[in-house]
Amino acid sequence: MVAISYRRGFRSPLIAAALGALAALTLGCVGDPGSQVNFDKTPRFGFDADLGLGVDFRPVSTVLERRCGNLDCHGSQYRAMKIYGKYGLRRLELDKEGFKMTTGMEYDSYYSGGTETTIAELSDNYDSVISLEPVLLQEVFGRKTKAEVAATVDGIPCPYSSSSKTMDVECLTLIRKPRLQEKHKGGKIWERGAKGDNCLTLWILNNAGYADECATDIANFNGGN
Amino acid sequence: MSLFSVNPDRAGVVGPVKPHRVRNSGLLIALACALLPVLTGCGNPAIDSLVATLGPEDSKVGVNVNHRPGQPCVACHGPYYGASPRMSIAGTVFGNPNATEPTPVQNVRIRLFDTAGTAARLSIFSECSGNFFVNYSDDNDTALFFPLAVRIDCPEPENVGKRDNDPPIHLAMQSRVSREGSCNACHRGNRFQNSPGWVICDASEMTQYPKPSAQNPQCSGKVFPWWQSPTDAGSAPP
Repeated sequence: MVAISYRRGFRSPLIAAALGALAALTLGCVGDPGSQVNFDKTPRFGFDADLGLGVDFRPVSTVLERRCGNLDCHGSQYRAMKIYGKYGLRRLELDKEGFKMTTGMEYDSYYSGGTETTIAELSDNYDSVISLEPVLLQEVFGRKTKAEVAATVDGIPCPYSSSSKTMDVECLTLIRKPRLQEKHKGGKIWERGAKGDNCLTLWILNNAGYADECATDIANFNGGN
Repeated sequence: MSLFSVNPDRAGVVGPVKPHRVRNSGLLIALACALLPVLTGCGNPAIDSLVATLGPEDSKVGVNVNHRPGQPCVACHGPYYGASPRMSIAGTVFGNPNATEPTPVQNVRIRLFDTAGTAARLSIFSECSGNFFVNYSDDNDTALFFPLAVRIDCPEPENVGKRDNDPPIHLAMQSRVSREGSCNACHRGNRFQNSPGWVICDASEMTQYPKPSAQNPQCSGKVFPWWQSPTDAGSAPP
């Protein structure tokens, strides 16, 4: 006669669960590397020990803040692709009790036109930009140089270039909207090849030249161009 | 659905209900549901609720170019409400950042630069209440194309009564106007997380512009704090 104890009955589900988990690990979760998020495939946000978080994205964000993040456009609280910044909408911060908007308790001059764009605002701007077309952006990131793109893309309809059959940076909505290649209620922000356009495009392409283009665009903006 | 249910035409009598009556009722209900939004939904609730916050007309001022300083002009003087004249850009210039009692500044030159060229597209002057506006135009030669860059040239405090074509205090808007015709829709009250504060002549906030003459109540520049209305809760200063 085989004695069946309560203990043995209790142990079986445990073993089954362990086997199930092992099978899932072996077969499913690590089986498809293409389905995983690869953080090396998104444009750089950046960290620097002295300059802090967001150091790579700040030049790009500055252009977006000035050109797009006006209070009556992407700086509106009610927009999905929101851009926060020094000259537009400030990110909601709560006071120390956590129930009321701050009036400068966390930062000095925390109003539109006041203190510099905070790291929290930079981070939210980055989220807005990369979440517009996240999969396509990963496809594009670092794929081509600006010169290669210019040589192959003209006249070739999006979403694919004929040469490589891969997504091209010029097909992204983020790039097409400000050029008015797609319907854009805010109108034409810049022409293809303008400094602001290059700033955004080169940053997505992981080309180190983007920062200079961004800086020149801001200088032009302040000069009234 | 059971075929045996209470027939309203035969109260108290339980029996089969003719299927076509049920279908007709459903059709009527569907039609009514479809018609309801058509009858009630043609308005613009966003503008309606904004206009509802603007308060009554100031009887001392009346309806003229100086009325409702500090309010979002194009809410009414736009295509939806159709108040005359129709405006494309309008706002108010003040001399100080005080939230509810700012001093209006007259004879400020407002220069608008649009995407149609690099030279100033339009140049207008503020009235004694600080109000200014640009008439709407469909004509390509005179219409404004967004986004706009804006500069204001303010007179010295002692010269607000004189119209000078080149007032000496130059101030440039730090961002562009993307689509909103009412300057005061963003520039309202105190500086806050969603407002840079009033359009003001005095960047240093040290210059004292003279209060408008009590002789002319139209020029008081008295502001109704419409942005603090409960319907604007969540975006207004506390």
